[in-house]
Amino acid sequence: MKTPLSHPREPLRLIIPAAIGAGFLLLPLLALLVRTPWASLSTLITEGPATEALWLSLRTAGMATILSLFMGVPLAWLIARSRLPWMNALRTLVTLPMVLPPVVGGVALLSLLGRRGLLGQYLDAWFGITIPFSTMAVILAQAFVATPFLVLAVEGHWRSHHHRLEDIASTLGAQRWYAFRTITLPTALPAIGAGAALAFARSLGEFGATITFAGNFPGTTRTMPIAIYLAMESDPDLAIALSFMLMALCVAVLILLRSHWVSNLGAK
Amino acid sequence: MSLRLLFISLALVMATACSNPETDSNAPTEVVVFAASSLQGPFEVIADELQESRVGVDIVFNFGSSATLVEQIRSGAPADVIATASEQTMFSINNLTHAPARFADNYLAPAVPPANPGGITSLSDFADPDKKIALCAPEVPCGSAAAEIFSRADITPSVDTYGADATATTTLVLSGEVDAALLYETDILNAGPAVRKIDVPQSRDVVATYFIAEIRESHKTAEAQLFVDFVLSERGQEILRDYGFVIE
Repeated sequence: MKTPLSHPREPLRLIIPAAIGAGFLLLPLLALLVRTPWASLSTLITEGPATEALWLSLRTAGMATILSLFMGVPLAWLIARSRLPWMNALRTLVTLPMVLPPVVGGVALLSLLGRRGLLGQYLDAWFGITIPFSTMAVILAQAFVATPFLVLAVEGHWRSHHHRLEDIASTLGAQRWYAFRTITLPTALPAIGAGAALAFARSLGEFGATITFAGNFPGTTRTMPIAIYLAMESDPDLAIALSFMLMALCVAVLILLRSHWVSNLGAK
Repeated sequence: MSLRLLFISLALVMATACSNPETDSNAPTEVVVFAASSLQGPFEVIADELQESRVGVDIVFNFGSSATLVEQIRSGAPADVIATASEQTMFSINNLTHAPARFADNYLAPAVPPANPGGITSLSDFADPDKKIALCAPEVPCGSAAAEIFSRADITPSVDTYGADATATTTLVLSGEVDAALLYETDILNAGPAVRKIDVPQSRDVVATYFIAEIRESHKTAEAQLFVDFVLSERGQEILRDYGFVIE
């Protein structure tokens, strides 16, 4: 066996820690697959509590993603393209929820929108609206932690791609909104798709902010991660089955992310 | 060079993280006590007094719902003593513990924020869908006791959220996020003026019984026994009574 000159052998001192790293990330998931109660899986996941939690998770994560798109895309554009001052600071600040422990996000949302929160007390007193412990609260908690992923993905795309097309459009007399609609937005579709997929996956997995801000009630606020956490105490088999479902769902999102479906969106 | 430094520091970190603290003969013996969250107040006082009188014993607590604690012990968590808020959770691991002892009782009662924004006066107000109601999750002792109270009273509560344990549910009333919850009388008492108790006749129907036991696998039998004995001693019982627990 001859190793081609252009492709030298990978050094062993990198291969070994790399293999450990891959094992560290993949072995726990493999163990989950091994422990999955395959025989009873279909009954476990088609029974009431599991489908209820899955349906709620899919619905709320979908809504949170849509909310992220409406807020995140314009925000990404503002940070990437605006000449207003403080945009670098704004970029750092709006991505803070990404690194913040989610439970802190939940406490922060309660401080603003809780019944005694800065805004929440007026919502309650004037309109009788209380957000905590509702499905709306789940969506807000998920959007709070997921939107930064979308902003970062889209903003990164706009920042790294030159403005030439838009510049040409504007020299040809196009209004800024028209140029945004016909050039800036369509060319960013793959990045927006990737960002939305990331935001959806992050919303599906949201736990800390949700249980703090939205609470835990079957059908309205008990999403998959909360159902898994609770099942761990009463029915570990159900917890493993639910974890398997959530993992399968996230793998599907990943495949979507890597596949041509997302990267080709812009070409159509 | 810097890579080598990285490896050395990594090895050092691993070595300290994995080293067994018990090999240090001068260090106090750590007794790990898993206890129901409602026991936090009295147990911390008990630990302080015990550590003052017996040098060389260090009590470390893990407070949580009895259901969580039992599950953690089942998965091999290194506990020396467990104290639960129900007989049922304690006896669900009787193959892993020595004989449990009942050491205190507690009752549940409706609790509201001081201004009583929901105007709660009776247990049947819990069935009003317009009120924000919290209960402990049915999996944990305060939740199963709450469910029993409602089923005996033939009332279906309109629950908005389930707290993970007694402390989490108490916090929901403390923060004013809910109109009412069923809480342990001890937790209501110890929350002070921030939580108001509503007296209802049904609250004495169901009693929560607290049990304590040593874990069989524990290697610190003598020190674990010391803690259990203190809880069952006259002084230990007095502390529990101070926190509102019912002592027979």
